[in-house]
Amino acid sequence: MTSLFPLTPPGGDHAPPLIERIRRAALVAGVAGIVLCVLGVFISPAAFFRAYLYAYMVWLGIPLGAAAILMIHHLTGGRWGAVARRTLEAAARTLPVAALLFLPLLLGIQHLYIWSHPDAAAADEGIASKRGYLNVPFWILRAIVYFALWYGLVFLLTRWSEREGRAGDPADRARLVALSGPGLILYVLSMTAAAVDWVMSIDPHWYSTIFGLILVVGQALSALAVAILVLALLSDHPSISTILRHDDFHDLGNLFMTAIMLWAYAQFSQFLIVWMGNIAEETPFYVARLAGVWGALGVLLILFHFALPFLLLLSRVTKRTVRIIAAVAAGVLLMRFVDLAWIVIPFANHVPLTTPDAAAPSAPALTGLHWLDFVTPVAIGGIWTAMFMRELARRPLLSPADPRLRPEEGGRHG
Amino acid sequence: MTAIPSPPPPPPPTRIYGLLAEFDAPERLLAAADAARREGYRRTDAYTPFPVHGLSAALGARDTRLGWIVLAGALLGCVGGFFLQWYSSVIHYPVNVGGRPFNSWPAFMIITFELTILLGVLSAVVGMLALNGLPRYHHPLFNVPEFELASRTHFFLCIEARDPLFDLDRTTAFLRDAGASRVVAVPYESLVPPASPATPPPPEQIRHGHGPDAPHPAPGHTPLLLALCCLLLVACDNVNRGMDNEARLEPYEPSPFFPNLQSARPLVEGAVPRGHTRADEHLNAGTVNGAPAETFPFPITREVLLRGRERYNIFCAVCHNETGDGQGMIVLRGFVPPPSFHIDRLRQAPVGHFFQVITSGWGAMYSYSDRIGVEDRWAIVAYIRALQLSQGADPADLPEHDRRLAEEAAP
Repeated sequence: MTSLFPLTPPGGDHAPPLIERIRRAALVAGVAGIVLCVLGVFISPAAFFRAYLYAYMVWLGIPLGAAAILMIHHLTGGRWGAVARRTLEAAARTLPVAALLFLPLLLGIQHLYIWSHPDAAAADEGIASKRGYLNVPFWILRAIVYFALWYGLVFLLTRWSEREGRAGDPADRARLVALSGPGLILYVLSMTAAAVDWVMSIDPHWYSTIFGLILVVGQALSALAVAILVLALLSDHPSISTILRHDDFHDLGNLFMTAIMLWAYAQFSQFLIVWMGNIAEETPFYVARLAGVWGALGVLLILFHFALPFLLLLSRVTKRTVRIIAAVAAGVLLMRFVDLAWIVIPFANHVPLTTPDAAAPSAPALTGLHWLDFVTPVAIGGIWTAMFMRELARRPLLSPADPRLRPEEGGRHG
Repeated sequence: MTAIPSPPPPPPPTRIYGLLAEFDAPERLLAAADAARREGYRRTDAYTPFPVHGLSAALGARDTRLGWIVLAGALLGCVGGFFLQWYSSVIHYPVNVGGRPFNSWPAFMIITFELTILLGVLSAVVGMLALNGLPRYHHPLFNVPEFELASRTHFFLCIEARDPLFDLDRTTAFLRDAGASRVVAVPYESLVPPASPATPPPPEQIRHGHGPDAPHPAPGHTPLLLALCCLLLVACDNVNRGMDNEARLEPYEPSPFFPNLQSARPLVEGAVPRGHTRADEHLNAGTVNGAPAETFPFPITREVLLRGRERYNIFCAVCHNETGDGQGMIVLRGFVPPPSFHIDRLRQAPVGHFFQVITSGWGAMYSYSDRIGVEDRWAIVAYIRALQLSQGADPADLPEHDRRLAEEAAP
């Protein structure tokens, strides 16, 4: 067994050298991106912060989505989760880094959120009536609560799982199951509130109750894509290739397709309701997103975030061929950026921040994409990926105590 | 059984469907199926009480055509569902709903989606049955009495006789080596006696479905229980009389109690249903001293006109059209066209005339008195007057703002 499962953390030469290579490259890209970002803050803070927010929402989605997929796995079981578990746990453990990366947004509150301007509230009855909720101290307090809650979930999930892997105590298994049910509910509720705070409140007049769910499903999708990519990249490594089967990719592929359909369902539900209602409070969201570059990106989303991956994943061949499913996962992960850019940036564009204390008073109105929109994903992603690779190398990639991974028991779903 | 002296040995079957091997555990079945595939057997099938993961792969089951059948069904549902809605809303019966375009594709998506799922699922079920050759009345495997254990405790692997590698002795030996606890030949016909005794003797494990020592099912208590239940049901009547079965007379039921032998009593003479008094001739009949009324029976306010417009668009516009020109959607589909409200005869007609037409019908138009109340009928008449005014209005009568709008719209 010890030859198949590295019981000690495979540091240095035990870890696949690929992980180390990716970590170095990501770190270089991240540092270069940060330099450009710092430049961007001075050139156009408004463009920088909206670009930073959307990219941050994508990368934050991976640790949070990983935690959600882990909880779903603890509740439902299945071999797919047993093989993806360590990868997802490594992704979830990057949450503290994600929390640190949230800090720059605190500097951008004035640039992102019109409700943070006292005179905007004075001029606008709608904003004034929401002051009790949308004010800077309460907003920061809520962010602290969200991160504390999420960190608590991730801490317990990974700690008990690691202990279960080491000691094989069935009590830890029971703890994981008991945590996962309430944990999932708390995650969806808190993420919905966070989506309202960080994204939807950019336009304090617009509201949609399914908005948080769209982001939640997107996060699960991102995490699944990352898990599939990592497993595919490492599938040649000797300690993994003996365990990993085509069936595992098949199951993950099915789950991935479900998440894609759920994403399309949530996005379309919001669109259909707004379209049918056709009232002035709701339609600006789509008016801003169906024209120009955003309309083109919307078509791109329908085609490559839903239609193409959905049709490809219908086939068994796609799901059982490591290269193909990895390519589909990479494509969808890329489209996650388009999705969140499409959701976040037009918000920040069509709500004017015209008060004199906003920096760059003579800055031209931002309508389309900005070069910073391409820099921030690399900056945040570089740092995040480097941390993710570090976490990935710290623990065995497959849980040694998991009975589902023993070859003689592997045939059954459990 | 002992009464029969030395029963003749069971005759060997004439034709064999295949060999059925019994296994105690799914792992053994998996291993045997795998071994059979490696050996080169292709006509194999397995029967288990629950789905065994990996079994279809071990059997070498190829990708079936079912996926394509389901895809075809789903696509048909998708395209057909969208087409039905698009055709009826855009081509055949275009109705303006809330100012939306006729081709309101977002609204069509739900039914398109549902029909995609429905036809996909139906073609999955029908395709699965068809590809499996179902329904069928009987299968040779049921000639083996032990086979019923396949739905309870045991795992079976069948190698069919039509497999090119099939050989009764060698395949039997192979299955036994593969770990089968028992190997049984499956006869094609269980009831037909053997035609020729020259067929090779089967392995000693062969048992015949309806052989003389086959166990007969013990008579259960089911008939007795059923009879008891029926008795109990019968006993329920009259014991527990519910409110659905009260001791009272239905309307129009014969009754010897009253002189005319009917259960129902006649109404008191002169009784009027509540809300049906018709004392006000102007309001209820639309006439004043027998002639069509020239005036409204109550003041026409903005609320009345709005109500009239709402009722008009619901009940009248389908034929008379929303402008009152008589070219409504039903007329465009071929119905008898009503006259336009904007002809001189109807411009001159007294309001009581319109009221009477709504109440009693006119030409192809039937009476609307049972679905539009009297006040609403007057409100509609008032709105018709407003329509007539709108179609022949003098621009000079318009308020300043509206006149400017009208001039901008029609230069």
